[in-house]
Amino acid sequence: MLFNSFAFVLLVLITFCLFYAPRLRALQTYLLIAASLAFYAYGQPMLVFLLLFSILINATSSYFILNRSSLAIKRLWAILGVGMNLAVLLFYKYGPLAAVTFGMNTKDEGSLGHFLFTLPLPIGISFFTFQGISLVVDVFRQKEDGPQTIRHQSVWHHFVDTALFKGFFPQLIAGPIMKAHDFYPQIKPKYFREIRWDAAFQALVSGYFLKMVVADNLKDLTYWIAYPYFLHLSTFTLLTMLFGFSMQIFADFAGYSLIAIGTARLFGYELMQNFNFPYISQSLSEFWQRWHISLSSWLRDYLYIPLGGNRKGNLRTYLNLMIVMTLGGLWHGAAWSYAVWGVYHGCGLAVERFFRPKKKTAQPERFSILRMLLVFSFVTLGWLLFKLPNFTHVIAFVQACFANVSQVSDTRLIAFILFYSAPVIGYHLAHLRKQRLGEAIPAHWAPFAYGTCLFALLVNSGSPGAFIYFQF
Amino acid sequence: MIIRSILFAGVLFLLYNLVLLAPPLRERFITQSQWQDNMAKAQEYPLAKPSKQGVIVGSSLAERLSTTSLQTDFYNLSMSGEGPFTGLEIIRRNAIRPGVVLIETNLLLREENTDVLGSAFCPVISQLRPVAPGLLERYHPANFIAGKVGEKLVHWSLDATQWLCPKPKPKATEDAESVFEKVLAIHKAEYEILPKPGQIEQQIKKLKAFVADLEARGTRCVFVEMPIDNSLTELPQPAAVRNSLREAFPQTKYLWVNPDGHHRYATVDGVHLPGSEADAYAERIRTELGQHGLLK
Repeated sequence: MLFNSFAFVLLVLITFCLFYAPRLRALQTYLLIAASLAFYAYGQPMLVFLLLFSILINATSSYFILNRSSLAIKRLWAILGVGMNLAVLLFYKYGPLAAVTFGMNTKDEGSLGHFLFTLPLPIGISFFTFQGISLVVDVFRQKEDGPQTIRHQSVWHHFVDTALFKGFFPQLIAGPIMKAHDFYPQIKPKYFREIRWDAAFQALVSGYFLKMVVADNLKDLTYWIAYPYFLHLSTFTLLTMLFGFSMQIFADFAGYSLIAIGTARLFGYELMQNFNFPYISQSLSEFWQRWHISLSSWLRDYLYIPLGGNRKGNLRTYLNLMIVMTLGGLWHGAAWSYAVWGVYHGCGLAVERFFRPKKKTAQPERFSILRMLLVFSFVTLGWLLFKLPNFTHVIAFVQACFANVSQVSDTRLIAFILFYSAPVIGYHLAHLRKQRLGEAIPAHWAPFAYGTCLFALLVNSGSPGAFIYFQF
Repeated sequence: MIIRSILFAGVLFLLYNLVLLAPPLRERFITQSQWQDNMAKAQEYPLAKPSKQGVIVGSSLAERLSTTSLQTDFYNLSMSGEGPFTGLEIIRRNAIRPGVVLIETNLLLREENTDVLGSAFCPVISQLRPVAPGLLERYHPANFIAGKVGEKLVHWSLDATQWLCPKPKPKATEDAESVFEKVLAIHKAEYEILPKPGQIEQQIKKLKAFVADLEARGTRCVFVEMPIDNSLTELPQPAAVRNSLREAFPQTKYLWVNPDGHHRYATVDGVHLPGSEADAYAERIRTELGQHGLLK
């Protein structure tokens, strides 16, 4: 079910009305779980059983970790829980890749290769699996009683809370990937009077604007970054399209995350911020602290630090970086081009680390703009691997950029791409203004800004398209 | 803040629709992509006044047929990336019944596009479009700002910065030929594959239902096969589709317009006709229609 569909609006409206009905307050969690299952089953009804199975794995393993005193038994359940999560993810997501990579026969029905190759990819499996791992690891790691502690309770209540944590529909299929210790303490009765209306409205309007006005329109303009259509386009047209795709992928995913955050706020839940103006980053490490924050912080907390982080010498730090980025790349999709994308960013981070000055010194302003442009260009070039999963097509695109300098540019396409990119640029510039002057736009301008976004939603939305990150 | 934002959006919407009432301004809007063009055609078909004598349905192949070259009153509902069913479904759902429907047969295997249909027949919004043109795809503000003004600015900027890079020159013939061969190879690979068993029959069954419905209301259906590169014409997929269609809609009962076997049509990419060839083919269609008394 797409966030920009009538079905979704209807689901939210019905759930919202029932959720805040005073007589149904005791059933709030169950209502959200039922809505989440309906949301998931809407597109792939049979795969809802996989989601339930995944919930069962995590509820069982985390329950036994919470309720056993022996560390060895706890560790055994933690290994089992993480192992089962990874097994489900590997089987469904990477089965087809394995079939192709190992040269299995994928054409004959009845063969193992064909079976693996034709496995359906459950939407959002990468997201809910990572949340499951977070739960198992968090309950295993937690030691002291605190506000973020996941407390042990009856089997049934633990199962219900786990079902909500994993299945909560605003973040079920494309995040933000919540950590268990941030979400569980929020599961409690919610009241209508406690809704943060302004915050929810701002997130929803900004999110829908970024998705439906910016990303959906750019989608049709950057479509031509497809083999062989780009071969005859001019260098300037190609570079503008790549720039447009960079804007599109941000608007698409940041828009999705904002809609998820806004919808969750309607139900009294606070999801973590997923984007923090990534295109103003002055280094790649800063970029990864601002882009898809929930994934970056998950990889840091559950992979990079357990691998030793930067505590075991330089060589090991570089190795850890490469491992984390390569796996992070593969997390995005079951194709080797995603791994290459991960290696590309891993190399970038390693080089940046190598040349990083030992002592921090104040840098002139003009250099900070230069650094921003450099990081943006590096990241944008990397998106080519997202757009063109066939590596030979990526090479062909780069070659066309060099070869077609003298071709005539498509001025109309360029004009439209620049027009739709302007809000993303403005969004980042407003943040830079906020950093300097303390506010992005004067408070009394806010209704005009959000009113304009609503107007644009009404008269300038693009053709509806699935969110890019749904495929992951 | 929420109420003030909604009110401001409402005021902007009203003002925008008032501005759009000026016909000269409306002519300055240009669509930004082929998908938007498809949506615009689908939304504007029921608003076309007076209603057209004939309609063309099909893909980007038939989209090249200029309605002015047909020299008669036609509405081209052919859409890039689509087959004939999207257009046929739009005709079916509208009260207007054209006298003639030209059905392009080349891309019969494509299903109707539910996004286009959903946009054209969206409840409430589709009813508001006749009075609120701002809700029409064609009149997106961007289509004026970026389409008219922005394009000129980009053009001007490129001219002003010409010293940065060599003066643009027309595409070298060698490059164009190489791209043509690559695209043709893709079409060949696609056309080599036979449709799944039963797929053609299923599409023909669907087409028969549309044709029967149109004929029951007095519309004449004419089948048009658009010319493609000679190396593609007899490949398994187009041949199978053509043979099945001719069997289901025999030439003894239905009017067919086919490419002249002796004429080698030039295409830009193996399947799309350039302007001059498309005009020549439109002329051929016009002659055939005239000979059968299907033109007013």
